[in-house]
Amino acid sequence: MLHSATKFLGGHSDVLAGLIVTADEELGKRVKALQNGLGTVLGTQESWLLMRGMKTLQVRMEASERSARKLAQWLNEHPGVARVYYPGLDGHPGKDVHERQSQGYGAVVSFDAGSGEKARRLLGKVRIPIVAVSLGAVESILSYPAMMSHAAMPAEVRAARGITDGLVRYSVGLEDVDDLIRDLAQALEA
Amino acid sequence: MKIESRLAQIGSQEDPATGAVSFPVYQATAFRHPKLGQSTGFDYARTKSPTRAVLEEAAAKLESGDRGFACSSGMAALQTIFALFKQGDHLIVSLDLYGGTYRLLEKIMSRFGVTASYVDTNDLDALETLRTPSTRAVLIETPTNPLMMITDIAAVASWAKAHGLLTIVDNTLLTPYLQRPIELGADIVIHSATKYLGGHNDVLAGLIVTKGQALSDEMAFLHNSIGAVLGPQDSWLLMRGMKTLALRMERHEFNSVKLAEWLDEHPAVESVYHPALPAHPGHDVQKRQASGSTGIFSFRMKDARTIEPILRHLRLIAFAESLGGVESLLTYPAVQTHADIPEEIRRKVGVDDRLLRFSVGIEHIDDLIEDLGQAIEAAGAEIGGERA
Repeated sequence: MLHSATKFLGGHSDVLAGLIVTADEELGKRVKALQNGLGTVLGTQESWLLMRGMKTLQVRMEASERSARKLAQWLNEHPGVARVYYPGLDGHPGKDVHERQSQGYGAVVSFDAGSGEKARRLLGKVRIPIVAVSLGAVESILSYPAMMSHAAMPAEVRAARGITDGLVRYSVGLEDVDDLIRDLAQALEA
Repeated sequence: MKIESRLAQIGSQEDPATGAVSFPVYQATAFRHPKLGQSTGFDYARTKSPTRAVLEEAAAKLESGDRGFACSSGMAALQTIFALFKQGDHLIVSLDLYGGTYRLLEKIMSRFGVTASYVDTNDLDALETLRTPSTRAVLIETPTNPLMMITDIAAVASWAKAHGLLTIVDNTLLTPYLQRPIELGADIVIHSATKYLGGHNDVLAGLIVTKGQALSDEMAFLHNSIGAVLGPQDSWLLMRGMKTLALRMERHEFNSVKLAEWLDEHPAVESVYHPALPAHPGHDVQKRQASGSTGIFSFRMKDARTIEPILRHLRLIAFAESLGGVESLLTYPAVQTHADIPEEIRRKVGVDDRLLRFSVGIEHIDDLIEDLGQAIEAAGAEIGGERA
């Protein structure tokens, strides 16, 4: 199992880390030998910061997910939003599988603002989420895949994968969900 | 500007917002975009992080290179460099090699179809014999660890350049304070910065410095894609250590030369490997390409039975792995650092069961000589009464 622990496990946008967990001892020994041989290990300050973050994982995940569900529902009913991607919504193609294999829907909601122009306007108008790359923090983070995480991909390859110019990714933080919705409402209206 | 001044001032003028003399630890992974399509220069910490960036720039300048890259360890730095190579590529590497580098090449890189030949890199004829159309680079450690073999960097780099090969130099032991391989023609310098650059046995780090735009761009791509980067706290600790590098190296050198001369005269010692000793085969080359000696050297006892009691009787000097710290450490390479190298290769280069490696710290020379002297004395008494 692989984690970018920089995201929800750390949870505070302050530590860059990865984690590997193996299912059995034998595989674990092989990974251990590679970790030592390659030397791509985590520093002590980073290890401590990550543990410090993980102590609040449960409360952070619960709060962020609760807000994400409400935000996704609200976006789904918003006339200015073309499509919402969140496994907790009825109609999401992976909902059944997701419910079988996990206990929650997570705190990341992607949605299509309808066009690149509308998405970019929205990103310029939001006041609460930080416009940045990354996700999984106490602060809400709004990312624009077309110009950030997927900028290196040609437009037609992106489109074929559903990464349209209107798509934005909302990583829901610990702010009050009504504040987040009010903020999104004014940004979408503009 | 002289290197001493550069070292002392690392990061001291880099934070105009506050004027902080010690550059702050920016413990942040994500950076706000002022506007869509605009960046502060920092987006995501794996790609570029403020504290690490100051360290990387300092490293590049100290090594007379174009770009620096800080990694989570020396091995992580080496792995990032090795990602330059592809299946079928061949490397020529120093014979007397750090065990971890040998392991990375033989147990990991070999799986990706990258092969290596090991040779005394001073022997240009041997290099030429080993060169194939697939050879891409030569990797040199000079001095080597633990036998302190010296390679003429300029000679190898010029041979490599003539054949379109990269010259990679591990400069961990001498540091840019004493030797700057890029000025001698190398393309890439690598450091286990855990050693002298950090200097305090408290931070694990690696550094890469590249020369040339295309190579620097390629390395930046690999550094970001592989992500084996150094965290901000460790970057800060490393810069903190580097500020005293000049002073520490002066004392390391003074102590190690004195100890080597003392051991060279000791009746229980068979040989001493220290490039500052005139009889050392690399003495002249080292004098030409480096401005001094490092704090590490090796010596071989006459009787293998003395090794265990010597290590047990030490009071001040620690029996431990690693090197380059302010504290003196004695290492037994055959069972510690070089256990991953097959015995026949170890013996071929001279890492046998009578060899000890001394990483001399910055304690007072009299205390070091006294401690080692009493340990050798006690060991001699233990193995049979006669003077060891």
